[in-house]
Amino acid sequence: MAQNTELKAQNVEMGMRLLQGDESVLEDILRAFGPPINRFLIRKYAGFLNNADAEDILSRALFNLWEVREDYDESKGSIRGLLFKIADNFAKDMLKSGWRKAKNLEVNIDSYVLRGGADIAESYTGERCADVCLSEGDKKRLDDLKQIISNLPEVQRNIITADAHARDGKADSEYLGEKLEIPSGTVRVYRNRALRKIKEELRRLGHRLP
Amino acid sequence: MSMEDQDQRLTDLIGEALVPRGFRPQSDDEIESLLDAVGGEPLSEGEIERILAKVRGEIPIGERNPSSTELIEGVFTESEQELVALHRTQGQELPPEIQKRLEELRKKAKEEQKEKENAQEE
Repeated sequence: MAQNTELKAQNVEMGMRLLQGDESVLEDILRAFGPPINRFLIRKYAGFLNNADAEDILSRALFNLWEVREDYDESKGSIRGLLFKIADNFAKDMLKSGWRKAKNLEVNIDSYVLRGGADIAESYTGERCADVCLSEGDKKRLDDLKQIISNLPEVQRNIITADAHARDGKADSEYLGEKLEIPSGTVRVYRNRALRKIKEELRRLGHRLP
Repeated sequence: MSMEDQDQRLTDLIGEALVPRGFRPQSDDEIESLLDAVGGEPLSEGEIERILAKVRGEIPIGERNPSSTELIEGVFTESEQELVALHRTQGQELPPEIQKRLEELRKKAKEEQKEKENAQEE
């Protein structure tokens, strides 16, 4: 409760400084909210982002927060939550398109509101709503899919996992090639092989493809 | 349904299978709970300084090339290695002669990798 009140007070104070264009607020935001976001990025994107990547994403998220500061509305969420959404979305964009393209994407506060909520909600069929959202058949298909992916050769599994974390479900082959130390053409070949195998196995197990 | 739509649906399903539910918060409240739960060690003064320098554009972001860093060792002379390290830490462009040499080494490494791949495929 006390932590909640403190967070709210911090949010109001920082929000005012952001709106006033006080650049020094970025350091305070970083000190207060950087650690959990940094840790989240390292955990969620383990294997595709290292500590240096997470640090760069946090830097870019702070920069983007500054860019959209005039549209910040505390009634729509906390600065910490907004910084989190910017960082997570930038990580997905970076995986999809690589650093250079991701850095050039237009920054728009509304896109974070939508991406942080609606698109996640649309595709959501996870554990908490599993009983409501998924039929038994769908649950079985999801379990079988996990098993099929875990049986893929390591490099193919890494590519498919990186794709799953990227915006629109496809990671940049050049970026992945560097991370996995294989040519980008090989990434594409392995990706196609993995997807073919997944489809074949799903069919073999009697599942219709989505 | 087009082939592309089918692939997209499969991609969505794979996403659901591989990205843990805890990493896909649905609402602002879930985001706040997630961040409270994740915690995290305070950032060091060095990290804070570096991140803020990146925000100000004094240090470039996303410009690493691990393969070229590995290549530097043992290929460049000690003074060249120092020069590369100095320019990297200051976020500056490398001198053209060093860049050219790095490019050559990168190209060579890619060709070797390709040959290795081809040999494995055969």
